[in-house]
Amino acid sequence: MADHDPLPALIAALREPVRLGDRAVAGALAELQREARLARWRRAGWSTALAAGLLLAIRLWPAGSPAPERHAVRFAVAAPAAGRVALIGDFNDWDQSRHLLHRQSGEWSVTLELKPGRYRYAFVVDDSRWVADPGTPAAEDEFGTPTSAITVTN
Amino acid sequence: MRPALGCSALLLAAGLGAAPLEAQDPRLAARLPTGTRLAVERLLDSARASGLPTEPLVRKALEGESKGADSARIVSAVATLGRYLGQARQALGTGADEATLVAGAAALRAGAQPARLRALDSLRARERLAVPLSVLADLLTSGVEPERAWTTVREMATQGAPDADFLELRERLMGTRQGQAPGLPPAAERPPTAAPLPAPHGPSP
Repeated sequence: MADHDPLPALIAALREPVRLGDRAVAGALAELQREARLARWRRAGWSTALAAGLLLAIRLWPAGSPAPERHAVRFAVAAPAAGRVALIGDFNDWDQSRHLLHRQSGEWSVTLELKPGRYRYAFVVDDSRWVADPGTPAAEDEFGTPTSAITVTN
Repeated sequence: MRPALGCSALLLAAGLGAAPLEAQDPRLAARLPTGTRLAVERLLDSARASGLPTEPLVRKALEGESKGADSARIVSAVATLGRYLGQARQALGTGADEATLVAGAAALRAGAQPARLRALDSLRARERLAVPLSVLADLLTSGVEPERAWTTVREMATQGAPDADFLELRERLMGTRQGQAPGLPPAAERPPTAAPLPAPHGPSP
């Protein structure tokens, strides 16, 4: 019985795990690269979300200290013959349609909630006549119409 | 460019790039003729670049429109207010808030000297300057002799008088029923009170 040479089989056996190892390493490397790509995109997602959150916070965060408290301020004028009286001023963009006064026994009045500060204003009677508030100081005016000033305190 | 860096930079650039759009106030677009609006927006951009509040300038433009003023007058009024706001900020410092600057600008427009704003700033906490400045503006606008108005306001500030005392001083001085501040009865129900000014103490600066 001829001796069987075990060497080729042994070599083949030794080679086999090595070849398998090569594939495993290549696969692992590919997997690692894929994971790295995914990780970069995940970081991109988080960074984008963080930047968006930061921008949103900057835009929405109230500047400086908390918003000052608002206070009720009553505006009133005697105009018994008027059919309509509007309050117009710094607090409503000088828009006649925003704050119409309510009549009660010849007196027209409206109450607004205002933050502390200095406001210039006037009454507009029947959509045409500008009237200053006789009870508050006259205000500086560049446009030649009667204007009053009020200071709201804390 | 890495995705993370690229996305963040793009977003930040978009966010920062959106800032100039704030200049296009929809209220101005709705109420002012195009030429007037563009001129006012240039003034707003300038104010914004100087760190000044723009809302008072927008309100001034809207006031002019509401009062039927022509374009030149509106632009001039906005520019003038911007100048006074800048002077007020220079006198009162960058920490002065919008309400304080508006009151300071009113006082300056009424004839107060910037040095007096600075003096008041040194006497009273900056967050408590709006009312004294507003009262000073009212007194000057109503024709009270400037030295007397200033000395009285300064004296009250030196004594640490509360805001309500400044308003009461104005009532007594001007005989108005101004008293619509919180805690006081409705203004129209308060009878006018007139009393002489308290005697000023100390020399005027």
